[in-house]
Amino acid sequence: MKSYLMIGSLLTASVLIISASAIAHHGTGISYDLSKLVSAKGVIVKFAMSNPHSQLYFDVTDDKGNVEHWSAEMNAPTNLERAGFTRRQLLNLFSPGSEVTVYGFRSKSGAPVVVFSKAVLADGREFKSQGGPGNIE
Amino acid sequence: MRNSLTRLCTKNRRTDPLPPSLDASPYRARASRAALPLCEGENKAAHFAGPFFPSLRGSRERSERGGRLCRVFVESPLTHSLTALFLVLLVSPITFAQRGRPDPRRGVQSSGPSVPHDPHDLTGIWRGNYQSLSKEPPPMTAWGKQEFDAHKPSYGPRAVPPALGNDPTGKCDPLGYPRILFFGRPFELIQTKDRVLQFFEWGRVLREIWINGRELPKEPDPKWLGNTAAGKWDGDTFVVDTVGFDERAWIDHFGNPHSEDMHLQERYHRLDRDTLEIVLTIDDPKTYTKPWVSDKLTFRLQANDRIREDFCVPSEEESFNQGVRNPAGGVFNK
Repeated sequence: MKSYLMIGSLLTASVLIISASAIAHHGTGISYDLSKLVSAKGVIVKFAMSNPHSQLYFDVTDDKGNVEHWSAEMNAPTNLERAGFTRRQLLNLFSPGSEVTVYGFRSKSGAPVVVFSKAVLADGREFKSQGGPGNIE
Repeated sequence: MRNSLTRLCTKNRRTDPLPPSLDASPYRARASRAALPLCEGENKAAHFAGPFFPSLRGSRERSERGGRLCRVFVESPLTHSLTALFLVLLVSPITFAQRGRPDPRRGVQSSGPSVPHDPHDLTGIWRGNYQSLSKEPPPMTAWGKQEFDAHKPSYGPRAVPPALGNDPTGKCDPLGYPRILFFGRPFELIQTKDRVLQFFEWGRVLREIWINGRELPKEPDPKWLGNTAAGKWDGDTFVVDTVGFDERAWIDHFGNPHSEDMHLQERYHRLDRDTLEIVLTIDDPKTYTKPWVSDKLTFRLQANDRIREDFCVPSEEESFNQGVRNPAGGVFNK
């Protein structure tokens, strides 16, 4: 019985994930390698809650002191609003200068761009994707 | 003990005479039991399905403390089955109501159990999840195929990264109609005396459907949403004919084209309070060799939602293109 429940849950989750992917617009799914979740630790430069997708920009510094400029493609503003978030809250959460670890799926081009899955701030606060290709829930 | 109990029962049994026709046989027993008071703790709440199936509910005598005779309910197996069915029916609306809770992610929600509705009232906020009329368009003409090949979408089997494509919406060009139906955002239908207004969240676009007998123009200038849309009721179906489309717009996310000659007919049918069905038919002989009839597209009522501000802003689009879309698509310094 438990097996059936688990299979059912997995099927349901698959359908939800596929549905969420299907609704992503502007072809987001085609630009990223959705088979491999990556993470990058850096410092937030800017958060933009704007169309067509919100964006998080952050700088990653390697061991030699080289800085790479990363960006993350996030949910559309109305999706975030419907999930209960306001621009003010998110600007406060992603304040410039904060340390952040960003999880996502990297671009197929190899550029330091991900479709956003999750961010973990230095103080432990987390923010997850609210659906779409980056969603890993 | 048993004898003593029998004696007490006999002593307290009611002996009111019954009509001759009911004297003796099961009738007498049932009638005399019915006259007894209910035992302590025996009430409707304990057998709440019982009142709905009284003929299936029997009773038997019992003596209470002090020797007073009273009546307790005895239910048959059939009653138990009906009770279970009753409970299922009672719980079902609760289950549907749970489905009606807002989904904070997508804003997609039903609004609880269906209730009577006016099929001629299309008012409400509706949302669907489609990308085109159907899986495949009809065969294209040579002109249609040429246009199709020139369109480089970021969806479907021909998808390329948006930075390498030419989807008009990548520059905030209007989606046009009917493509805006397929953008995943809700729209609201508002009915006035002479028009049905279709208010789309994406771009806060307002489409006017005239219901005052306005005729379709013979040679309409092309417009993104169509030059003129005229609607009328055919029974419980609201039929809308639209002509005069700007052929820069794509029909859908897959880059299927249309010409300025496209004639679009939509048939709106409110199946129940929470479900709006739309069937679209595209008649465009310049592009397709036969009419393209859509699947039955259903849109769900968003009873607890509202149309939000959701503009495609060229400066924001450009910033996103430079910072995210272009490098993700392998296009740099564009």
